[in-house]
Amino acid sequence: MTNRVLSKSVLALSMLMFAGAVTAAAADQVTARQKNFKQVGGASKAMADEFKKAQPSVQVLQANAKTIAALAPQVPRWFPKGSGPESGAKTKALPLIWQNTAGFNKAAGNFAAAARNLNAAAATGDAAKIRTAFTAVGGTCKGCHDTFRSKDRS
Amino acid sequence: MSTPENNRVKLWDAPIRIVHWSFVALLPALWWTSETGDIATHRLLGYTMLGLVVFRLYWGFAGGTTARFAGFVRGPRAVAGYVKRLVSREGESIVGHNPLGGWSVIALLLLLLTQVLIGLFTQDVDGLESGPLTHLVSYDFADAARGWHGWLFNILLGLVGLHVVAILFYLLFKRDNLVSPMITGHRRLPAHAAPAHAPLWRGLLGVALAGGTVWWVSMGCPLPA
Repeated sequence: MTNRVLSKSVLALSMLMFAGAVTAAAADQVTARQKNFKQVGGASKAMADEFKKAQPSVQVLQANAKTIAALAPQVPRWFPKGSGPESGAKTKALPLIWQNTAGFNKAAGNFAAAARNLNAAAATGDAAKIRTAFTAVGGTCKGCHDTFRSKDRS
Repeated sequence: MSTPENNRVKLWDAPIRIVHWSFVALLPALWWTSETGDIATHRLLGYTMLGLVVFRLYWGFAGGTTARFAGFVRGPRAVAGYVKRLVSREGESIVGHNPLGGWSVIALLLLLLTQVLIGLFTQDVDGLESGPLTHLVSYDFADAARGWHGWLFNILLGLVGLHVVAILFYLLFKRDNLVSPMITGHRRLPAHAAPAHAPLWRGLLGVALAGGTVWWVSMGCPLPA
């Protein structure tokens, strides 16, 4: 084996490893993103569960509103370039997120604003007000999902 | 040998027919409201489905002879014997569900019950809408339940398809129209074969039972404090 072939092989191998590392990183990003959204979902469910009770606990509502308000502004950061379906990871994130960045950031901004309002409503301790603000947050979730998430089930 | 005179006999009572055709109407409506994301209507239709299934299960013990499970759920020997005779073109006068069809009724009812129960614990893809009992389960369970709910619907569709194919088989091969008795309630049968039907008050009791169950479930199954 000549040196040339050897160096070429080493180069090819390292490129392959690099590519593998990139894919692994993207997969990690997808996993982290899903974990974050599940946290939002969990807090949202906790609030919805509370509203099903005759006497919703304001403390529970406040704690979960705080969680949602803390996570909401981070959403754009959960979508680094390359973490879409092209990464090979199983994700419902549509390529449109990175094609229409302005639209996506606006949708994410709506969520963050609604989450801020929710936290403010929670501070009043008025369950009815919290509920209205909570429904508005839900609308912003759906607003973004309808456009930027695949409708495939599973 | 004298053949018994065939009379128009009441085979299926009104509750059986109402429940049956409500299933027929509800299934496509449930599918459509899920497809279009109209979860508020989907939930209402699901409650209706729950009530109907509860009533039908009750009627399987309290209804007339053709409604009762004990009257049509048969062992493997009876089913095998029936299947052997199935390929002959000879008509057979069975009053109510035949040994094979009886199991189809059981399978369809169990599947509908399972489907509606899973629906109670299902939350929608955005986590905005949910069944009335999701507060009793975790986020992951409610999320997974949606997958099962969709998956089970396909199995249900398969069974409904089989049901329709069987009815066509009876109509075309056995020259036996099973659809019109399910509409009118009557068919020609030997007079002595007339099934007994349950009194009205038992039906009303069943409606109250089903309605009460649905109300309790829709409230999230509260237990008396």
